[in-house]
Amino acid sequence: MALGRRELPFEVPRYSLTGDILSFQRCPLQYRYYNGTSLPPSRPVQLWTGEFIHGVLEEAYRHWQQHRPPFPWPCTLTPWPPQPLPSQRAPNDIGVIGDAVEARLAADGKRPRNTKARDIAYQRATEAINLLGPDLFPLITDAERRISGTRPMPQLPQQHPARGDRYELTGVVDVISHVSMTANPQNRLVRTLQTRCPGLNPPFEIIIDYKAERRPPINDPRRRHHEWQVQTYAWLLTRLPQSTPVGAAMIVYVNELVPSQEDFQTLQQEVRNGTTDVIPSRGSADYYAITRWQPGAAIPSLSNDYRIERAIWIVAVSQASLTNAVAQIDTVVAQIETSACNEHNSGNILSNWAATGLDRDCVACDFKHFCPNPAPRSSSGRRRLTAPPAPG
Amino acid sequence: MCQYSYRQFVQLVRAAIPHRFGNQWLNQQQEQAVSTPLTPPTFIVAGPGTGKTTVLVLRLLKHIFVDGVRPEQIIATTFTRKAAGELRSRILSWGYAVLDYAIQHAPNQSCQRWLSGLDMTQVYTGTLDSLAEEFLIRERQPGQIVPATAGEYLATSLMLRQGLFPQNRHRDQDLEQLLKNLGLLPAYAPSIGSKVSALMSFADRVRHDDVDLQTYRQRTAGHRVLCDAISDYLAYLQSNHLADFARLEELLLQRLQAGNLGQMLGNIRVLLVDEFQDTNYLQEQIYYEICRQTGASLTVVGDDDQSVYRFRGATVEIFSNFPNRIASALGPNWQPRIVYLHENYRSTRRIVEFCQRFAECDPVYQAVRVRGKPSLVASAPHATLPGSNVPVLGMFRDDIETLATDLAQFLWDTFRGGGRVIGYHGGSYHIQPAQGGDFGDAVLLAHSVREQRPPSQPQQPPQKRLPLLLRQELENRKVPVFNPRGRRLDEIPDIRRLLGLALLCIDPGLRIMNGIQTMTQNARNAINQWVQDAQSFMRGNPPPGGLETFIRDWQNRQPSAASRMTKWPSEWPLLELLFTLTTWFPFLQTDPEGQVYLEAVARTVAEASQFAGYGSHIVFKPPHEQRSVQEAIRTVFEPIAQGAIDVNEEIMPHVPRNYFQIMTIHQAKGLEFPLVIVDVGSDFRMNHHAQRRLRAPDGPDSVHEVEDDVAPCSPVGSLRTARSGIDRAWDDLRRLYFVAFSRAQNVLLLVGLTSVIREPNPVPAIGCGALSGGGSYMQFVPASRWDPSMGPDVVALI
Repeated sequence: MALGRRELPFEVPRYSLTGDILSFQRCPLQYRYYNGTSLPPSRPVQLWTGEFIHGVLEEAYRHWQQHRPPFPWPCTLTPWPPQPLPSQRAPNDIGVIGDAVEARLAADGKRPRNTKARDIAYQRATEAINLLGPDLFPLITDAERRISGTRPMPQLPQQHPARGDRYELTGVVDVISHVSMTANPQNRLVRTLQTRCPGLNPPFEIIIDYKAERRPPINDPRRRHHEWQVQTYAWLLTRLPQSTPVGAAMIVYVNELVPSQEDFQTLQQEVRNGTTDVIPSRGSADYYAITRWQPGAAIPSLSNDYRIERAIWIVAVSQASLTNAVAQIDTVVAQIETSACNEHNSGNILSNWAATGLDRDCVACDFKHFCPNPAPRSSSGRRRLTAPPAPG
Repeated sequence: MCQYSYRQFVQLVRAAIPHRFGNQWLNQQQEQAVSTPLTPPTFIVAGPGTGKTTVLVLRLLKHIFVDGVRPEQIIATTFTRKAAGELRSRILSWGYAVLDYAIQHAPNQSCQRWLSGLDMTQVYTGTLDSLAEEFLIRERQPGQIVPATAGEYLATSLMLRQGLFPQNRHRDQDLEQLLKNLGLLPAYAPSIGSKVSALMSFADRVRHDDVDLQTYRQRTAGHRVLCDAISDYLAYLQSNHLADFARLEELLLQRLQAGNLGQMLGNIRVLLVDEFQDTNYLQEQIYYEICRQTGASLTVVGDDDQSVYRFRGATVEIFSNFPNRIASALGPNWQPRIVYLHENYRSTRRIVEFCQRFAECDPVYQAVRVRGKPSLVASAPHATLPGSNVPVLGMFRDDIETLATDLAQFLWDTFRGGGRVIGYHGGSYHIQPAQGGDFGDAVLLAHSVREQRPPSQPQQPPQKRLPLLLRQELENRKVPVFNPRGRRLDEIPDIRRLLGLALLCIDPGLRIMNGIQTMTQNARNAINQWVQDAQSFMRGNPPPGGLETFIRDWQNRQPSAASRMTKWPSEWPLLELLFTLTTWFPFLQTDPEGQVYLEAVARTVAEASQFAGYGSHIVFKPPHEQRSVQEAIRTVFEPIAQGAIDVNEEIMPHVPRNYFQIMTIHQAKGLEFPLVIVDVGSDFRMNHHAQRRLRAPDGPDSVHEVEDDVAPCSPVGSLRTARSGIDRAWDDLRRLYFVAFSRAQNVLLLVGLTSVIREPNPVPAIGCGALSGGGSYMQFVPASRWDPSMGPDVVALI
């Protein structure tokens, strides 16, 4: 008698857009270690900044929704290390909101790298609330919305039977806003949208995604990834029952509201080289402030209009852009599934997950010392493994 | 809305999923379980292999298409994350197949519109823990801090620091005596680790069973100290925005009882609960509260014979008494309709009958089973083929070395040697793999899969167990073995070397470790041994070379010449050092099994950083260097040396097919294998009282003692104590082996020492037929004397 054959369990794999798809795109091998094995990063400080900014903005919106305090909101930081506060703080004080977010992150083991990093995170959150909040908050219909959808499993190479007939794609949209026929024409965000996407007719929805980073230069692949991410969110939203069409997506680069020394230096180079898409008009105060700044000197103040223009990137959404975005997701899913299958058959990780990270991905990567192909890469192909220098 | 009749729904499913339901529809009981209306509650008692998941998923789809319930109004929970993933996969796959077909063939546009508005991903599927976590996140109020979930190691470490150490409770004689009386500590020299484990299980118990601590603490001085320790631990969690799993569920129940169901639970119309036999009292209250407040339709599915998680608070009596309990909690309208699934589609007739006989053989056990439960009926296509009905086999040898050798040879013959012939009186069976079959089609299941047993005397080496000997035998034949729970983390050679190297870097000469007064000698010895292993490894100059230089530079706190750093940093994460050292360990980098071990080390460091003052960083400025290294040793190296860190093999998605797997019976729950080998007695050379709890209990086990102890202070206590502790001990052991035996599809092989079957006076073991009232019902005959007319009690020896 023949024994039965034990097949792989049927499975509809679940992929998070940011946690899986975009991570794999950055570097499949790094994705395998951080996401597949769930190895924790040795320096999780970057996680703190992003989660802090998102947390404060979400919390601020929830507070505004219930109490509608007028803008601007104060920001009185809780001193670090803790000391008595100078005075009683209002409930909408961003220092108060930040305390709750910090407590939540601390419970999860996430803390700022140092006081400087904490201070600038508060400054950025404050500017985002006070500069964008008056126009943004009235439009919001949903915050931190978890969305998901399924797609048929893409075709895999013939030797790899798929473990399921579909895959599930999940994401968390920071903010969904609704622009109705009666939207306030004075609303700066609505005006900006109508200027950048002239064919848009209300009602429509806008996806808003906060990025705790600076606006990437023109040729940076991150721009493509960010655009792709919001297009995919839009696709997922359009799949929801009774959904309103998504007119556009708005990516908010929060660092642009309060640039650091390093940010400002990069901005100066980009303006000089013409590698950024938001350059102040020649001869404007902002132009002079940027081009004449000396590294190390205090960062000059730029106009609100210019900072907001740099902070906001509007991405038009169309049927064609949605189709294109999900086709690319299918391609990435097929690559992940194929890598997993190859690993299952061979029992080998390094030979089945490509290492393709860029310099900035590799510099903080915990696995760079034994990575077969770390950046910067030589033209001769895979490197010869060498001992890492101490301390690491 | 576009509502289908049940008949139309059946047609829809059969047309949409032809490969599964085209030619074969459900049996009568399955059909009944799927088609019963929304009310009253449905109580599905489903034996092993009876198509429980199929029924659950089709019932869920029937709610959508026939009863008009929207997907977002449905919650389906189960006991493990893995099972939840499997359930969700089926819901999405079949759900979308049916939905897409229905949209294409919709009778009119309005129906098509309604169907197009259904989103199957909106069905909530998960464990109750994850439901609680998601609820607390989604439904939080402005300014409210959602607690972070504390993993097992973090929770245990906090119990040590916030519960056990304050007021010297770890030295408290009253507490120690109480824990000993309850069987939670060894009689002699109990370790701190065993005390903290006992406290953790109590901390869970008080929440799961809703124990009234005010009353409980008044019983003895030991109870007072115990309750204080738990209260301090819980208070710390609360004030630091942390929650262990029990706390998450407790918070959910509190919100429900306050009427705060939010959007997520407020609109629920259907609640489906899988594996209900493993539900604890707290979880039962959550389910009932949701039903009370929403009137949701409730379906519970499970099998009392497969309840094996009592040690985690599971209360099988909640399942067995479900009809009475829900009616008394929610009113007579909630008296459920009972459906029994008993047609088994997994195993051969002989295996099904063997399992059935095992469940029915002991009259004492019958009293606790769900009433009216019909016998399992073998219904798989291969179940009754004469050539397939191999008898239940037995392999028993005088010593485990011979047993391991013969078992390895049996596996080799089967999968590599052209098959194994079992001759019996009047014929033979030829057991061979399917086309493309491999060692992954077989499994060894055991109560414990540890490869070594601690020595009985301190100076002796550990004793080898069957899993280790079998591993060695198979590895000699170049067959890889996957048994990640078989060895402690620090028994993995590369992990010992990795940790030893890290210690050479941060504490050269172990000067700081040797200054720690309170460390146990065992941990100290283990760590010393790691360092020796590391030194020996380093001397071998492993590729890519340069290890000695790296270690020397670390010891001198001097950046290597190739480093971009000009001076030594002020601090360095321990985890980064460990990842860097992984450069010299290809097994940890590239082998999926190696990753399982690396993850356990990395998780320990990361969780330690949540409570350790230096955040698992080494700070190189005096006096912080000594303190931070000391803290790292106490929070990372010592727990690993004490065996306190468990691996999580679920991060390895699929074990390669050419691996032979060894797993505990608990791990195998929900799985099936063509060839199942069950260790029923490889440890039982003689009738030693210390092992009786594992084979033929002569008293309650510690978990039953604890249940009895808290019973007067818990609303669920009397439900359990209606049955004596010793009876519950026998019940639990019977359920465990019932689960093990019922995993087999084609061949079931029992293995052990001859001592458990020898006549007269075998060492009594439940897996070999021992009965609680004495005696045994199984018979063991040489295969050559076995013949197909023999009953299911007869095991053919090979």
